[in-house]
Amino acid sequence: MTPRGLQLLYLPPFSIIARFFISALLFLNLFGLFLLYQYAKGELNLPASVHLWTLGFMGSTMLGALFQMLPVVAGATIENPLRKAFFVHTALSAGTLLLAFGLYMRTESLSLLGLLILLISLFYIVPLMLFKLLKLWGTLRDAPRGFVFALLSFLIGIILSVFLVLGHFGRLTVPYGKLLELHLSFMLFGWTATLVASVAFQVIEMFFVTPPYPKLISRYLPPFVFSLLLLKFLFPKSFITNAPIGASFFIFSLYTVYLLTKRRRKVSDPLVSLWYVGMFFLAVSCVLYPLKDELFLPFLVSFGAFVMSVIMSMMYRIIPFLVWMHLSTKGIPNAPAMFDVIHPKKIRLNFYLHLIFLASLSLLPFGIFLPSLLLLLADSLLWLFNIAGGILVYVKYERENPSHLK
Amino acid sequence: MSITQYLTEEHRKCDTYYAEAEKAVSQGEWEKAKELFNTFKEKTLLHFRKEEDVLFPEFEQRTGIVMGPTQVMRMEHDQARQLLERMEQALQNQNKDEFLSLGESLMILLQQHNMKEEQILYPMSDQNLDSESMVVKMSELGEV
Repeated sequence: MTPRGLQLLYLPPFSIIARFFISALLFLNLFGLFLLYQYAKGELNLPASVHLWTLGFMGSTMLGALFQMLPVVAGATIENPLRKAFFVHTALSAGTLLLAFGLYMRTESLSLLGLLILLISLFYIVPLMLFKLLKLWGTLRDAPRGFVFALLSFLIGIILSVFLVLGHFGRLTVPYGKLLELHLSFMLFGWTATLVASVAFQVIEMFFVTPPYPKLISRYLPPFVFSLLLLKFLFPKSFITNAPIGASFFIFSLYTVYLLTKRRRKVSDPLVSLWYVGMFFLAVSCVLYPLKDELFLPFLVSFGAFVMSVIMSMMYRIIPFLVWMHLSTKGIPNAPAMFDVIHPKKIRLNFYLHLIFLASLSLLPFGIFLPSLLLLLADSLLWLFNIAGGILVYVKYERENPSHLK
Repeated sequence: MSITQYLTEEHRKCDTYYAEAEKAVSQGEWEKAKELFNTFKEKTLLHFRKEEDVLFPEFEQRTGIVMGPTQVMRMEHDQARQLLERMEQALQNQNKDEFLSLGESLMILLQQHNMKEEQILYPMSDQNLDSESMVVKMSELGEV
């Protein structure tokens, strides 16, 4: 008999999640600055901008979170995680910068080099994570099973991106519109929304003490969406596939809101509110998804607001908890409590700023962009400052208590 | 009743006790909060005792796994005990921020701890031990 509890004790080194989260927020700030720069020049390069966000911000956060969650949630240990994380993190950051810069400058060599670096790192880590999870498939709970479908979608999305980049530079004749539709759907719903939902199956109940999700959602939503995405290879732009994908996550968002209203801990908490906000924008983007040919930017912006809100909620809970957990596990007397790592006043301030930023998005249809751009920067900068401050608390304790820490 | 059912139900009860204490603290009702927190602390420690004095030794003896999941659970119980002490101190000082902050750590610690127990340790215990007699022995220590 394997004492799987032993694996569950294993806490990946704090520096792994810290480096991915800090990079994610640096990319978010860079994305804001890049948009502002393009605004000043009166232009918008969508592929370059979107990939700074999706690969830099979302990708860093999600891969960092998976390094943390695989051993803790699924009992799937990644050997030598520091070395692997260093390689993946460095390659992801460098590849994203090169790809975005290459797409912006329309420089084929830079884009292809960026893509190549991304492919090497992602084709290394994604199949490895999949292999680790699939080995334990029989014992996996719903959340890590969802990770499998998210990672499979990510892999398909990456393969599609190769054809897209080659098509973009005229190296290959490809049905660009259909491939873009598939790439976008696999990356946004198959990878991102499925991973967020799978994480929610685990953390909503755990962080907010709610009833669990029904099996129909937690067990079957990820494979159902994945099957529909595969069906899109036959019917890329069909309502038959797009409507049920949108409907699935629409139901998920409504059910999440319902669970949060049933939470036993009734104290006011901006991190709960961020989930409400995130679920609102997910629901909006689900409605817009089948209509995205006409409403592409509103769809993208809604989806972005969903992801940003949910990631903000999770980062603000995970970083303070992990700082306490790591220091406490290593025997630091009176390890700093979560409020000492990032004070709720700072989180609340960021939450309000985030709400103002989201409200300012309603000006976009009227062609008023500057307030949103400036607010996005302020929101991202404060977020980066707060998370970096929390990580520095860990560093400070590490320096002050060297005998406790290896 | 299985060990899983019996102890999982205790986890849910403890969650409710904490939620009530937390609500009282956040509303600044200190006397009520002390009473509710004492109940939460007492019941949580009783639950730990049932596991440490009855379940874990039997599990270790039957399975031969001594340095496995039970050891992990004991360590996390100790972390929770330390937090409970600090929360009691915060309550004495009527320090809302401190209490809620420590409570946040405690809740996440306990939720992930409970998850491991409910999904790994308890089912393993049900497979390897006489569930009925274990539940009777644990019940003799008191009701959570």
